[in-house]
Amino acid sequence: MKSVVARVLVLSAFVAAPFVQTNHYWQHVFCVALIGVVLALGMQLLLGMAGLLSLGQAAFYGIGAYVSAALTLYFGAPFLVAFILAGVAAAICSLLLVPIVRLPGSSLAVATLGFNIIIYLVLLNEDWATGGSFGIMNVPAPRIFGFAFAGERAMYFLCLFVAVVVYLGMERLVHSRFGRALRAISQDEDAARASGISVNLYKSKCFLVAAFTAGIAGSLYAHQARYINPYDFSFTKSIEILIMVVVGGLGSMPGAVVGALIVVLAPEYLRSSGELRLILFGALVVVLMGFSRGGVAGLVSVLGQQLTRFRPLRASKATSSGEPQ
Amino acid sequence: MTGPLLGTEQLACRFGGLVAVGGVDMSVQRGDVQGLIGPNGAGKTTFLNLISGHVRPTGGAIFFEGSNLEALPPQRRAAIGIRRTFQNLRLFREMTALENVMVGLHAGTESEIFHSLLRSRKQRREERETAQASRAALDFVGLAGCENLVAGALPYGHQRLLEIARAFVAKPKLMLLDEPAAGLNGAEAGQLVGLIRRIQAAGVTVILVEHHMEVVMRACDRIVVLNYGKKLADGSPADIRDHSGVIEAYLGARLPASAKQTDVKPTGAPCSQKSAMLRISGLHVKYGQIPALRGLDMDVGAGEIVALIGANGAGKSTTLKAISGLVSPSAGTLELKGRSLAGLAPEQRVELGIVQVPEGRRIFPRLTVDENLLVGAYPARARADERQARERAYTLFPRLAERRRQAGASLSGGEQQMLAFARAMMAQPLLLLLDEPSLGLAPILVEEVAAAISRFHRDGATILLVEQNAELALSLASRGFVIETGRIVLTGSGPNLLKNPEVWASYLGQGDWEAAPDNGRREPASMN
Repeated sequence: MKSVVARVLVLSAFVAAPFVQTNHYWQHVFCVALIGVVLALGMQLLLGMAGLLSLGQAAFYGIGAYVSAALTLYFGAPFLVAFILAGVAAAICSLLLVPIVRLPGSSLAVATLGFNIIIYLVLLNEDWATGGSFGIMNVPAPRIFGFAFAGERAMYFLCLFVAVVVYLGMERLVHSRFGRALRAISQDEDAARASGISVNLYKSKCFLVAAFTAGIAGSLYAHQARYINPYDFSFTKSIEILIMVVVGGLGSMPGAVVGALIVVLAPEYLRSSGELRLILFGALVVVLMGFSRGGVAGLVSVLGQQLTRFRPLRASKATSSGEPQ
Repeated sequence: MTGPLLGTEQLACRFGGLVAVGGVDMSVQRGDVQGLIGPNGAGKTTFLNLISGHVRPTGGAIFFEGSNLEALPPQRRAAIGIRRTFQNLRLFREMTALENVMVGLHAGTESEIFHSLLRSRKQRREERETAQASRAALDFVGLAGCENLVAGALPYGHQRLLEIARAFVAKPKLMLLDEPAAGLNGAEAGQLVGLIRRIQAAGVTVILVEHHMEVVMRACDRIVVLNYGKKLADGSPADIRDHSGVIEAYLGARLPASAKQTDVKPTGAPCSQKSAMLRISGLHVKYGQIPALRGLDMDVGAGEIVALIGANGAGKSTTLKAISGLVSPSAGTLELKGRSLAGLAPEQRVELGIVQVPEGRRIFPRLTVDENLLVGAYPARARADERQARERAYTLFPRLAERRRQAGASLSGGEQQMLAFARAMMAQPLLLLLDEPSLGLAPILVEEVAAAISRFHRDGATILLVEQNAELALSLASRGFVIETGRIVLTGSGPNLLKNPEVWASYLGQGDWEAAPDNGRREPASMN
């Protein structure tokens, strides 16, 4: 019950945001933040649930953006079709990673980073398909069943809808057989195998889902920014996505949302500090991590425990007394 | 179907030049509890790993229900009914107890990504059935009511049971139990025998690797003894008990006799203020909301061996962690030679001479034996003398000297315990904290550890010993403290406590195994 109230409140705040802030630039920034949320949710599944450190999410983001832009611009595909195919194309490309999912932590990170660099170079150099360093201009605004999402506010609600659906989907996945298998793998691969889990198969599936998520985020971005170029999808974007989930708190879906908002919005709010803004942002990240290894989500749960003297552990323990071991 | 459930033919496995399993023929009959015992490093765990598929054989074959398992990966073997537990507790520590057990049902269920996203009828039914079966399994092992607790926060004994529940929930045909009694006290070990019998009654064949001889003798229908990767003996528990080769290679002389070598001064009185090495008063420690220690008072005199005994979850490990600084107390004082330890970090306490051998060994798996020892000599006081100290360690544990260039991870469980022990000695401790030094050791090695402890004591070390094997601990110690739910309830000289029927009844549980489950009840609100 408590969580339902919290959800309604949070959703209301998101709905109210573009009405409270009517400046078009800020509404544009909010859209970017919501796209960041979608990216962070996919990354949370990889890193927070399955413990897979990928530095290649921006590649799938880019694949989604280019596929969606090309399909609508050159082939006249409707937005919805392009949106879904952007996710599918990214997911198919993630199959290229199947041979490397078995790599341990740091090797996997470097290998996915390499993958990101390759995709970036393809986007930059295959001019005939991608427009090279000029990118693709005049990407049409999304149009669904005749309704054009032309204004910033309409676009914001489209992004919000996608973010909410992805959030709910991730939540279902986490608490399902699939999610349990991923969490088990991240904590002990041998024990997971001994329980009947095909570790490499599930890691591949996890990459697939995360790539799909990044792909549809890319589609949203292409049609929201209306102009894309390779520089948006270099590995620094992957690092940014990583910062989102680590700052927000590993393993927490609400944390991923908060992390994405912080990473996108904080530099914008700090814009008044001029050239110092990225330094201030960096300092903010360092200080936050110094305070709580669990990121914002960890900080909130620690504060929550301090404030409420709620004792669920005790209660459930008491019921076990008297049971012979 | 007739024929054995599991058979091995000339099964062999070598790691580099080391032969872990060297051509073993074994057959396990349906419905049996098959014991597998032998000295540390005999290849027992490797044998289980071969059957579960976690390690590939270098020769021979394994037949399960008549068919060759050959290249079947572990997850496929799990799916066809071979489940296992691990020697060093491999739980999904951050998931709840219920979720851990639910993972055990992975192979029997099918809901995939789309089913979960859409919450299909099939997915909801499977989730419901999985949760239900998992609760039943928790109940079966005696963990009802723990389902929503995070696995890593459960007391040690409960974690062992949880691993069994995770394997049992899938109704396997064959269960491989790797030292399930390690770290359990006598009463709990008695309950474990009952649990193994119930698993057997549920139609599951069991292979039990165990050092706890009482458990092995009571639980097993047949026993195979391995030594240096070869089969040394095969027969009923009675045959094995009388087998001279087994006694020589594995059991050794009976323990209490050897323990008497220690020249302990059985004084029951607490040591005087002046000679106290360590003094603890009114110590409270909490994990979150749960109190683990509730006003603990004890003291350790200079040059003394003091034993701290009690059930799992009574607070023994927590006491050691509070002394070494790994947990910070919420109230109470700790003094080393009259100096307060408040506010000192663990590494500063090591510099002062408080050195702990942690439960579960915690050696550095990727460092060699040599390097592990040198890391032990990190404190400034010990560094100058590190080479001599290392040679002393090798004389004490010749097995380690043979393996000095090998990575820590490649050692057997018993050898790792030796290494943890030797590493602590490298720091030249004033006060040595030993957390379950005999855990997972073959009886013959337990004797070696007992002898080593006596030797350290004669060299002037002060030792605080925490042990499930209370008989061992009390026969070594000059004084003992019995802890129950975070408080000292009984204290006296080691020999006196050893004779005390109260101690025997509640903690050793060896007098009357049938009555043990009642004695073993304890308040679960405390943890280790």
